[in-house]
Amino acid sequence: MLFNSLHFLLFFPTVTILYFLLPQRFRWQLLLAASCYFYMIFRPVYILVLLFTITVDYTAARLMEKSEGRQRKVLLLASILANVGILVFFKYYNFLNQSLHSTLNLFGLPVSDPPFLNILLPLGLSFHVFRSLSYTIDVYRGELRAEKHLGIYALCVMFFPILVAGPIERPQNLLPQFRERHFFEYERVVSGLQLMLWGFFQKVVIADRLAPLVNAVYNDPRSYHGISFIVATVLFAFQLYCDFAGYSNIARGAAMVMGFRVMRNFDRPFLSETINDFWKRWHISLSTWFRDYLLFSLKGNRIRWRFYFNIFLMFLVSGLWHGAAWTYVAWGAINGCYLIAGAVWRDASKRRNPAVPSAVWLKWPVRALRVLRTFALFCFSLIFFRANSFADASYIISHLSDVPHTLRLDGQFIQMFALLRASKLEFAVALSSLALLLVVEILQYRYRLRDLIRQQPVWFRWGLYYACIIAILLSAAINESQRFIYFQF
Amino acid sequence: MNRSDSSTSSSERRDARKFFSRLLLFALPLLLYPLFIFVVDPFNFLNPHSPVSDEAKLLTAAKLNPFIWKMNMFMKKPVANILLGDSTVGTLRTQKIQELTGEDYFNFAYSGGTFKEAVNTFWFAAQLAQLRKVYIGINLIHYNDAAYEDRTESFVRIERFPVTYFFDRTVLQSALYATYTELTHSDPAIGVPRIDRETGWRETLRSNANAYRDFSYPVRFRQELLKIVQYCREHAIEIFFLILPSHADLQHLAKDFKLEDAHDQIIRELSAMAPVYDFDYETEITTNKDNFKDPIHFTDQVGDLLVNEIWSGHLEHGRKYP
Repeated sequence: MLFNSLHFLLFFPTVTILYFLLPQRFRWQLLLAASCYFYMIFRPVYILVLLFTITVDYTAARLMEKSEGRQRKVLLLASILANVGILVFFKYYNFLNQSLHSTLNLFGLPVSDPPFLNILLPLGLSFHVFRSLSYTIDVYRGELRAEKHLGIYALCVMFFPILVAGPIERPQNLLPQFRERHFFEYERVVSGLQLMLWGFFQKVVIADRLAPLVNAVYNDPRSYHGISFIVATVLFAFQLYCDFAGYSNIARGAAMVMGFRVMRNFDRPFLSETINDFWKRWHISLSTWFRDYLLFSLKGNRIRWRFYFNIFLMFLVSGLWHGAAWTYVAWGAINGCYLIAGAVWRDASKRRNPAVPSAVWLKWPVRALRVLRTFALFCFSLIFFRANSFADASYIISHLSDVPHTLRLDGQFIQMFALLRASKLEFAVALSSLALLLVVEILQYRYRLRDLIRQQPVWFRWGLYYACIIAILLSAAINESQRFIYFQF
Repeated sequence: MNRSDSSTSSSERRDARKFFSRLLLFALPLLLYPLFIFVVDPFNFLNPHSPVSDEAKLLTAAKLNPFIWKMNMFMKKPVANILLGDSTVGTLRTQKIQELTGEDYFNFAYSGGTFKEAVNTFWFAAQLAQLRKVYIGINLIHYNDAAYEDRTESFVRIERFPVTYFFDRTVLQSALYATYTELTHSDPAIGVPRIDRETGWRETLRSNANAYRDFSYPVRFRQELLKIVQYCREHAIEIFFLILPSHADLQHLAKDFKLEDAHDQIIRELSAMAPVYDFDYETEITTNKDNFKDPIHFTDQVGDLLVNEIWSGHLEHGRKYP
C-alpha cells in the first residue's frame, strides 16, 4: 500500500481508532494483521518470504540464547545465510549472472546467454532483511534478549509504518514498545499528524513536482547539454531527499500517532559542512546499521590504512544495497573515496596546523562555502545514482562542461526551460518549494518547529495546515503521482 | 507513561474528546472540496445542473481524461455505430459521417489510446448498446503487444464506486481548469505542444522510434481481436479496420526498424477477419507535410477527405482489402 494513496487514507485512521479502542492484550494482533494486509496489497504471495525469514530468525535467536560457543556461531550463520540468500536470489541473481557472463566474455571464454529470472522484487526486501539481521546479530552479541513471543517478533519485522522503506529501526528499540501501553495523548497525536503532513508535503508538493523535470533529462540525456545536466542533478538531489525524507516523516508520524518512537532518518543533510557530517545526517538508520554491523565487524580498524579500506568496502556494499547495478556500486565507491579523502585531509591538517582560529566575520561565509562544496560533491555522485546506465552517466559527466555554450544570456539560456520541458511557471513553483524547504531546514537550527507552531494562535496554525493540505491537493491534481524512490530497494 | 490505568482512562477520554471535536471543526472547511467537485462536476457525472458550461468542460475535462468523458457520455446516450482507436481516429468527425450516412456515430478515439483501451471500450459499448457498425483504427504504435496501458479502468472504477470520483486526480484537475476557463473565458490550451512545429515533428519521430524499437508483434492482441470479430459475427455487427495515413517520414522510420513485414502481415491477418481500409502508404496525402500537424496526426481537412472516401465508398487515396 502506498502512503500517498486513497487506500492508506482510509486504512490508517481505521487501524489507529481500532488500536486505541482495543484492550492492550489484543493490540499487537491488530497491528500484525494490519501490517500483513498492508504488505499483501502489493503482491500477496510475497508474505511467504517474510514469514520464512521471520521463522528462521526467531528460531535461530531462541536457540542461540540456549547454546554456547561454536553452536551460536553456526546459528548466526544460518540466519545470515537465510536472509542474505533471499536478498541475493531476488535482488542480485540477474545482476550477478549478467556480470559473470560479461566478465567471461571479456576474456574470450565462450558462454551461452545466462538464464534471466523474470520475477518481481518483494517490496522493501532490503529494509526488512536488514532489520532481521540486526536482531539476530544483537542476540548473538548478547546485546538483546531473544524475543519469546513469535507474534511480537513478527510484528517487529513487519510493523507497517516502517515495513517497506524504513527507517531501519533496531529491534532493540522497537520490541519493548510493543509491550508498552500507549495512551491516546492529544499533544502526541497532533505532533504525529503534523509530521505526517510535512512528509506528504515533501513528497507530493516538492518531490513529485521535481520528478518530471529530472526524468526528462535523465531518461534522454543525449538531447540535453551541460546546464540542463547540472540543473537536473541538483533538482534530483532535492527530489531524492524530499521523496525519502517525506516517506520517513510519514512513517515516523504514523508510528507516533499510535505512540511508537521511531528513529529519525534525516537531519538536514544538505546543511552539512563535510561529507563525513553528511553521512551522519543522511539515511541515518542505514549509515548507522553499516557502521555497527559491518564496519565494526571488520578487522583492522585500528590500523589507519585498513580502516580506510574498510570504509571504502562499507560504501561499496552500501551502493550495492541500493540497487543491483554497477552505477550504484560506483555511487558507493565515489562516496567512500570522498570520506577517505576527507579523513586523510583532516589528519594532515591536524598535523600541519592544529588549531588556527579564524576571524569571526569569516565564519558564516566559510561555512556556506563548505556546505556548497559538500552539496556539490554529493550531487556529482548522484549522477551515477540516477543515470539509467554507465554509458549515460559517462555521457552526462563528459558534457557537464558545456555550460558556457548554454549559459549565453540570449534565447539559448531561455531554452533551458524548454530543455527541462518545463514552463517558467512550473520551474518557478519548483524553485519556490525548494526555497521553502531550505527556510524550514535553516529555521530548525534555532527552533523546534513543531513547538514553535504549537505556540502560535489557532488561526495561524490552522491556516498553515489548510495551506499545506491545499498545496498537497493541488499538486496531487497537477503532478503525476510517483512511487517512492526507495521502494525499489 | 507512569499513570495508573484508572486515571489514564479518564484523561485519555478527555484527550480523545478534545481531539475529535477539534478534528470535526477543522474538517468542516475541507467538506468544501467534495462540494466544489459536485457543483463543478467536470465530467457531468453527478450533477445535471452544473453552473460550468459544457464548452468549458470540453476544453478541459474532455482533454484531460477522455476516458471518463466519453464513456460517461456514451453511457447516458448509447449509439449503435462506434469508432475506436487513438487520436488519429479522433480527427474523423462524426457530424460529417452522419451527414453522409444519416446514421448516428460515436467517436471513442482517445488521445494516446492503446489497443487494449479500444478493446475494453468495445466490450463496454457492446454491453450498453445493440451495436450495428464498428470501425477500429489500427496502427503499429498501438497494435503492438508492448503497448498494454489501460486507462479505461478509471471510468469503470468510478462507475462501480462513485465515491472515487471525488478522489480521482484528473477530476480535481479538470474541475480546477474548467472553473478557470468558465471564469476567464480563455482556452487553457491543454494538450497543445509548447514547442514549435519543427521541434515537435522531430520529437514525435524520436518518441515513435522508441515505440518501434520496443515493438512486439501483436499475438495477444490478435486473440482479443478475434474474440471481438467472433462476437460481431454472432450479433450481426459489421466491423471494419482503418489504417489511417501517417506522414512518409514515419513510414520510413518503420522501414528503418524493419517493420514492413510486420505491417504487411498485420494487414493480411486483419483482412482475413474483416474489411480493411488502408491509407498508410506513399500517396500525395502522406508525402505532403502540410497535410499533417506532426508525423502521426493529419489535419482536419484530411480527416474530412478520409470520411468522404470511407463512407462514400470512392477510394482515391487508399485501398480496401479484401
